[in-house]
Amino acid sequence: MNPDWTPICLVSRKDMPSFAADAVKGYKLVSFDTAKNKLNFANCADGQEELDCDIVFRDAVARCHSTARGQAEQGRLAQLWMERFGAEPPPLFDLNDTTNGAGLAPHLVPLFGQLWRESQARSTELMRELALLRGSFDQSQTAFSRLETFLHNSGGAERAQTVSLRPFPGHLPVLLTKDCPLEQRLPIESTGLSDLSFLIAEAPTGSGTLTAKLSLLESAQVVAEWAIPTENLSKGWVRLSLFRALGPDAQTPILHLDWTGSQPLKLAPSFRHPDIRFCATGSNAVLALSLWSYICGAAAPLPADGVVQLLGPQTLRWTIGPEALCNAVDLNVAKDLVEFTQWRGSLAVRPVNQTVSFVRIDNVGRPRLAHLHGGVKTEAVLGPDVEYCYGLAPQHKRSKQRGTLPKFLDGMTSDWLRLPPNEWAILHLFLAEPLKEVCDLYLMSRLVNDEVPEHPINACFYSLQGQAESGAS
Amino acid sequence: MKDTLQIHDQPLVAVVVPIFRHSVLLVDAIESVLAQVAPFGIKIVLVNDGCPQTETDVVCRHFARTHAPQITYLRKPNGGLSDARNHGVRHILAHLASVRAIYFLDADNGLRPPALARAFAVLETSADVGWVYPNIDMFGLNSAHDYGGKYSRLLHSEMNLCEAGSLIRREVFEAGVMFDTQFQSGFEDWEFFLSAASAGFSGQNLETFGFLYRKRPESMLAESERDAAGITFQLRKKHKALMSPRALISLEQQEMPRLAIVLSDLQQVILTTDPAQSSETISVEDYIHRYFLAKSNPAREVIPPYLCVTSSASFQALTATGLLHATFWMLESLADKTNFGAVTAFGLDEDRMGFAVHDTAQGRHKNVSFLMIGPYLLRDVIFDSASSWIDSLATETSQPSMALIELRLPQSSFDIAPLAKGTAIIDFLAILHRLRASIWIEGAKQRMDWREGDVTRREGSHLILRRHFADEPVYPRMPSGGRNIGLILPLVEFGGVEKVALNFARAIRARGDLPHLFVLNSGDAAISSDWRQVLESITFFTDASFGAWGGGTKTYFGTEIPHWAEQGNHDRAVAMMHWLDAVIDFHGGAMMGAMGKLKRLGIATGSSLHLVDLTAVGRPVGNVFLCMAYEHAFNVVAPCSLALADWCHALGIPKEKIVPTPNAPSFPISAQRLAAGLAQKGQRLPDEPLRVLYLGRLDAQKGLNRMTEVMQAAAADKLEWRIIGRPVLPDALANLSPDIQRVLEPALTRDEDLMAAFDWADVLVLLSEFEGLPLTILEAMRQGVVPIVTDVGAVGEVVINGQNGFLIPLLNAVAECLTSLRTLATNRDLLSRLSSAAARDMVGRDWIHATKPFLDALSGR
Repeated sequence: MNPDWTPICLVSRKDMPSFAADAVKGYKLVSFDTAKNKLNFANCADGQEELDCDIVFRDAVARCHSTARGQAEQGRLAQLWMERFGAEPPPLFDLNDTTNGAGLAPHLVPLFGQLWRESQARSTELMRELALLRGSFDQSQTAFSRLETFLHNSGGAERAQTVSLRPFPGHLPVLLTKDCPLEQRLPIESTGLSDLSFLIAEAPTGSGTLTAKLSLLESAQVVAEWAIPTENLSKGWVRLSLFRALGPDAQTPILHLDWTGSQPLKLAPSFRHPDIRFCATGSNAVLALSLWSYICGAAAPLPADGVVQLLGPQTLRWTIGPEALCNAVDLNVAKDLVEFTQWRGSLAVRPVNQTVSFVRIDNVGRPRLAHLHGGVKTEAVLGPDVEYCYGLAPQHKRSKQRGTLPKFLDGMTSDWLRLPPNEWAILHLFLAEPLKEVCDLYLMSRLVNDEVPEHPINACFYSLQGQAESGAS
Repeated sequence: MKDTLQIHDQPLVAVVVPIFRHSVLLVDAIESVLAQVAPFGIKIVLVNDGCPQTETDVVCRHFARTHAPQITYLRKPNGGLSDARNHGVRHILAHLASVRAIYFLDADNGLRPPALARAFAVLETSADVGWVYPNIDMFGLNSAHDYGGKYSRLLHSEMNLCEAGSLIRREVFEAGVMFDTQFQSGFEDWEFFLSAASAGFSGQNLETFGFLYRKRPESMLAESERDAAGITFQLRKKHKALMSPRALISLEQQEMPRLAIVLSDLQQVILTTDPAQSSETISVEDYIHRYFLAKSNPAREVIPPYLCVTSSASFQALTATGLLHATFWMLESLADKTNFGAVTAFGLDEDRMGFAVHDTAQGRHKNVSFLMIGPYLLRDVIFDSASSWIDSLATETSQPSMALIELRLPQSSFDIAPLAKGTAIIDFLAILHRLRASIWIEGAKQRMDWREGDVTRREGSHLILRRHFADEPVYPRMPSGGRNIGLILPLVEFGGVEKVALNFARAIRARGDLPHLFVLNSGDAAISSDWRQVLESITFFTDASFGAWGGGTKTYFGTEIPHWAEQGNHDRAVAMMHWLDAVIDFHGGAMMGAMGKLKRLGIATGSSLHLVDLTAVGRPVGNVFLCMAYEHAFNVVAPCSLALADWCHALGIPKEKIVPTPNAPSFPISAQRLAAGLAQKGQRLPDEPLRVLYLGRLDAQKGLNRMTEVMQAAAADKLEWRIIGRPVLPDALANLSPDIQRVLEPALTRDEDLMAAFDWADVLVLLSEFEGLPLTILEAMRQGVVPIVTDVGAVGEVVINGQNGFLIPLLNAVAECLTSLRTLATNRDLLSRLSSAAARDMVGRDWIHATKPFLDALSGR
């Protein structure tokens, strides 16, 4: 910013006061003439250096004359000024034949005072408007935050899958090699984008780190980054999650992938696309992708299978929703004990006796998980009481035999919650210590006594929420 | 801060912000420019367009004072948006020599931080780009619009492609392109960029520009949308040159050709509008890729809408016929109406040409040599999950409908086989299945771009030119080097008018111009090798509703105004001839009704007039009167005789418009041949019978009844008669008198035969009811045949009674003819004298000289 602006006072060249050459602090005296009906300005102090008309217009705050001839010239100036700029010229002062700078000061001081008062009023008005905007902003933020909490608590906080580009078997994989980063334009606008996943066609060998960045094409902003070491990469989908869905400013999201491993990382392609803008770098195919969205700018609990972005908030929430429930692994010996119901969004794990019926949901127990809770209910009007339980166990404890539960460590199971039919309850699992490694979740049910039910009992597990700290936001 | 000030002392980019009434939002706009991230200085020029709100002045002054020298504040009396922008530009051109590009930012819009750096980089790396324009991401009423794809002047003539928020090279303004202040209610930017395009500059879209447009329900642009029709009319008027059909077809050829012609044997695809030219030739594989690229995003990418499959041999064979453009024009029309248009050929023994269109090709379709499919059906059969319907094309019972053009060609002159026995069906199915099996097909179905493609006209770009002709298919011919002159005839047989037209064509060719024949009223014509040697192209006007005469409900001084002249599909005719430099109408009857439209396109129009017809009761009617009715539509009128020229002037055609083009003998004869014939004639013995010749059409106009009387009365005289010709209607032969039938010979068409006939004859008898200036008389006189003719029409301009022939009154024609014949039969000296005079009077009478003044007038010389 330039602080050197100086206000200008205009005086006719024919009416140059004797003090014109004096360097008067605080303002600049500029002479003008109207010869040939054109405005010409010159700086009195600098030996009549010619000045740009538009600069004079910008900076002129006053005019003065000390003779009748000067007054007439000022009239001429006013006319030309209006023709040239479409505006009235600055106010005019009569110096009454004054021959020194003191004659001008009495006019300028009230003028500057007036300008100062106007400026102060404007500044005050602007400050008041800023305050109003701040209040409005605070209100919006608070309301938004309450909306987020409401959605979290009422189960509406799941990220919705919006795009699914399936892999095309038989197509050659897209190779991500060291020092050859890959870009993939995502086929949606950025508003509300919360997760994206791509498919690793083959588990990587050797060591390396996969770095992913999400940027916005139009603003060239990087909005999220992830880093995944080889040991956390396997054949299958890799889901990258943002804490907060992208905001309402619609731009084109671009996924950037970088790999440091010595062997290429093979990514599964979807269809080939004729427009190279939409193809993965160096390929004629679009990567197999899935994309999720949520409310613009809002934070939804993270999906249990999502890799969390770097540099995010310290408190974490996850949701284990219908998507995860429907992929639960049925490990029971008997058949037809497990059924996912889309319209209810619940997973029925049917107990037949006091022996535990159970399913396993792989890898949804994320590191730092401290508390798990979710809805349970026996969907029947009449019938026996059912007990419900959660359990967490690391991947290496997966049993190879059907019907066999892993040995749960202390504190890694909830209490058995007994429920009569048709009664809703929230089942909690509070972990003594947050998880240090990825674990599988077991959903278990059993009958209280050994009576054989007449009909299959739909002991239903609903979506679960996980938190990193107990009582986290 | 010092570095910042220095960088802005020599800015490379200046942003002009015209302001009127956006005193608060202006701050956001200015801040978005101040926030630009760029390796060069950016000057901001605020132009207060006389805004009455004090706040605007205060904001501008404060920003200008605190951000000097980066921000300049200009104030001016109110003059409108265009005037404000121009004011900013003039200031920049006068005071900022370092600025290389100017950006216009409206006071309520904004830019993302990298915008100007990115746009400037495009100008730096692409010297042929005059301006860089953005996509439009709207906020307020949120939406996002893609204006991507290659810049096209053709599209730009039809829609506003470029936002005013574009970065424009300084040179555009230095070339004199400024905003037109007459366009005040919106669309200023469209007009500006059209002017820039007309000055030779072109634009380029930048997908990553980062321009943000504030959209409100009620805005200046919303207001101007309501006035769109009126504004567009003004635009088209101002940019007539760019938007004329001649300009548009050139743009279509360069940018968005409508035809993809597959030469299946070469596996090449020619992308073109004019089938005789090529905008681009690519491989079939490239075509397939481009096809799906266009289908994946039709607003950004384009592929010719019409696919035509043929072979190189068939293509060359069609080109050789002179019917190339006409055939493709017909194919395009048929492909619009049915599933397919196709071409085959049929060999004729006679030296004639023609065509027929069959609505169904059943049974004959398997050997077609050209097959054209329209855009919508092609898309449907490619993306259809089943192919049985389209595959039935190769069977006897083809399910898709197909209209067949059957070309009829003299097999002695053309290679018919490549046209009559083609493999276009099989070749088309091969290409189609390659398209269906393409690796790109799945991707083309997916919508990958989140922005709405706004340049929807890109997919239907061939319709832009059609709009000028009421959506009729437009003849696919580019105005090419040389003057293209059309000759319009209702039919081509052996009449005098046709012979005159042929000689006009020869004269046009001799001048270095290009003659093109248009046959209106028939799909079959006697277009002999004489015609074909001289013509550049041949077109049959395929409008089944066209009739040269008939159906009219009004008359002009007694001559019917034909129905088609008033209410016919003139647009189709004009679409056929739009590319010509001039047209000459040879008694085309109703086609005169379309001449005005051709003239308004800048095509010079001429009317060649030959004779005044008479009704059965002797009232003058016909083409000459019709020409009077449409006189305003013609630049020049060419009567075939001085008498007709005087008559036209007397009836009201201004003298300067009349350029008499006196008839001349219709075929050339070498000096040696002529001398030999005359010498042979001079050796005839006086006691040999007088040889009397009639040569011409055998119809009532020709006074055949009088001739019969003469023949009967002279039966005992020593006369030898030859009557050569045929009636227009074949079944009229039976109505001829036995005297005529006894000596009747078939019509002669070859020049050598005509010369031989004139060599034989001593005398030519022509006792017509009415005539113009018959070519037969001139041809006969040239070879020393003495004419005995009725004094009708302009005959008296060449036959001087008693000097080079006998000019006898119509009233007493039989008696006078008998007297003349008997005189010549007994006075061979008189015969010899008259013969020599006749031959001498025809020396120098040729078509090159005759047509020069008319053709000069037609070309504006």
